[in-house]
Amino acid sequence: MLFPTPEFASFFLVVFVTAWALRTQLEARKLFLLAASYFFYGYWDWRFMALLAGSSLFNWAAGLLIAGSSNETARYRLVALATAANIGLLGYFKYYNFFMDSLTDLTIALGIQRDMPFLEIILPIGISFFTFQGISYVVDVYRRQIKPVASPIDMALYISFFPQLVAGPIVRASHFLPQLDKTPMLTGTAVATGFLLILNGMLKKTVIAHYLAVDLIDPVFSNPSQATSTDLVAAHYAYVVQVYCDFSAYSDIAIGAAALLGYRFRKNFDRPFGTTSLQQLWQRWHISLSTWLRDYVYRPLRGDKRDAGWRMYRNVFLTMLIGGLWHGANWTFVIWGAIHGSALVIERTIKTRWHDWQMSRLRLAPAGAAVTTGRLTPTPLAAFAPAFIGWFITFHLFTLAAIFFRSPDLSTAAEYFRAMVTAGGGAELTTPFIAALTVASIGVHFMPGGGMERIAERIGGWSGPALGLLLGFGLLGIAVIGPEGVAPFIYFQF
Amino acid sequence: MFSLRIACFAVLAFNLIHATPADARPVSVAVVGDSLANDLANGMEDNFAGKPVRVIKLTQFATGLVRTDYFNWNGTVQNALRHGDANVVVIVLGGNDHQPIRVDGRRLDPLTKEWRAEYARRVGHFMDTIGKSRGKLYWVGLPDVRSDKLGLGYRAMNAIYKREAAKRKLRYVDIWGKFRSKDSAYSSFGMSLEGVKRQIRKDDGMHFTEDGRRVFADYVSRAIGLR
Repeated sequence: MLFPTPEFASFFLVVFVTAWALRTQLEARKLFLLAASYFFYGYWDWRFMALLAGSSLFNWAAGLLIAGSSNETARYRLVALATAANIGLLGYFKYYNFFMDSLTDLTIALGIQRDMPFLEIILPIGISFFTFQGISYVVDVYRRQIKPVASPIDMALYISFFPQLVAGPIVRASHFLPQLDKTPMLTGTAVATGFLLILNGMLKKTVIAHYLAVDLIDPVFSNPSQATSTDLVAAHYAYVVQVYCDFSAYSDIAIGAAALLGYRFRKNFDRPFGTTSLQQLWQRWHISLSTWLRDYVYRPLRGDKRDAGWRMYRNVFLTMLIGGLWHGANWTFVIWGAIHGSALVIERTIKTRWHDWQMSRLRLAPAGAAVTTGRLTPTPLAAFAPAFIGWFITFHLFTLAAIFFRSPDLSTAAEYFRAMVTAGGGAELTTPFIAALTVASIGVHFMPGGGMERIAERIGGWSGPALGLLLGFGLLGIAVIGPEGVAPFIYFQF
Repeated sequence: MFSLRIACFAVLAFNLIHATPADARPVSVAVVGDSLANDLANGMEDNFAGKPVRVIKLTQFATGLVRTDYFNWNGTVQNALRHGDANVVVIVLGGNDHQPIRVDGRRLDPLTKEWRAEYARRVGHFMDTIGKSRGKLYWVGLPDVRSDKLGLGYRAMNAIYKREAAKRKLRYVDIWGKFRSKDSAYSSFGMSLEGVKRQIRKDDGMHFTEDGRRVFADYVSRAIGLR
């Protein structure tokens, strides 16, 4: 059941009405939302509902055991076991055959060719997201950042709540669980926020991402060797816009749907293409994953000490490498993660040296020199130039690395890079409309943030029917300007 | 959508024109169709690298003979092949066609009697259109897939391709079940050309991996006498 479909609209309408009818009966409301979430999940493939329930119950029990133990060694062993079980589950479904395939390559390279025991495994939808939520829960309990949840219903609802179940955002227990025990309120601003987020998401997914994919990206990436250089260059820019519009759309609709049910999720994207460094970009792109990786990969790697130097760089690199592999069992994702990891290390090194150099200049300058001569106070141009260079490098590193992200295999990626430089030729698929759509979609990232929140505040006082009309006409308008059909969301595969 | 069609035609024509005489290779194979055709073409490119066989891709993802409002193969391929010199044309099309057909406002559900009749008419018309090109024509059937429901549809559609091809004396290449494991169930794994067990089908249960597309291309190449 994809978000932008009549099936989901009908499903959500029933859930919305029933959930608000049960507003004052919190336990019944939770049970209803849990049943609705399992229906939503089972609509794709009912066979994995047991897996979802098993994962929820396992992490619930692990949380209780960890919290119930006062022995630090036992607590440590329990959290390690629970984390290993979660990773094992993900590893089995997602990486087993990739591992076997890589092992086959290795045996061929060593001249001891063997047939590996491959297994016919179907990847359960959303497994990367719900196992990450399970890991964050048990680790947070271990760190004593949250108390274990007593009710298995609450835990199951936290893991399976349908707006975020299959493609995130990765919600934290500390943020979501306390909301379950409060009587939900449906304010005008919450409704307006929900409607605006849903409309924004629908526009990005069904119009922008769809046009870019169908008219340019899919044809070019399917046959890079036969595309012109102009189309290849345009498609690699358009692709990052497509991924952004596709995934941020899912997040917007998820956050909007949750808001309409009375729950608040944190922002998952915040104008990432307007950033001037890679570190900044990762603080604004898929924020729930970046912060997850920071809290549950980078920090454990770092330990209690705040490392500097090569150990810190190694940890940054490994975190991004793992982040890359999380996206899929393919060497293309490993390389994508390695590019980002290496680039972040280089960026941090340059920043540290730059900072040291500036400090040494300040120390050498006579007292008051910065004020009196202005030599150390940057002019507007001097301030703009580094920001522009930072943006230019960051953006292009992101778009070029995305070629690995989009390519089905390494040979296609290599072919893409080769053809981009050598093919020549003008724009054949890159129409002025596609070019304008790409540029405009990047351009909006330079506008001040918080615009949607301000509009929601302003229209939050409208009557219910007026807000309903806004949503209705908005969806109608999007349906009119958008192409027919709905492509699956890119992040479903992860 | 009009601009998309024009652009696609331009790409197809460009590919054909640029594939022709200069390097004067003895065999020029045009692979026509959807993403499965693209897998086949990529596999042929890999297998024939360094050999006197030129592979021309005339592929468009997510297309078929049902949604002619989205992409019209008849109009596109006729013009493209007219300008090229492909002496072998291999078609793989239909993977996206297991869906309702709309005719004069009526909806024909997949595999109903009316749907089969209309689909057969469209397949026949496309075969007639492509039959006007100068190359030897081969229609490659659809492979078995993981989904039972889709597999059932593909079997019925293969029967249509085979029947319509026979009517026009067009060679039909049956690939159903040719990439299965020994126990005859659908499998993502099979022997690579190097003789080692590899993943040959993608996780979507339909498309071919890098190793798989070479196996696919090898089978089709042998069937049409290119190897």
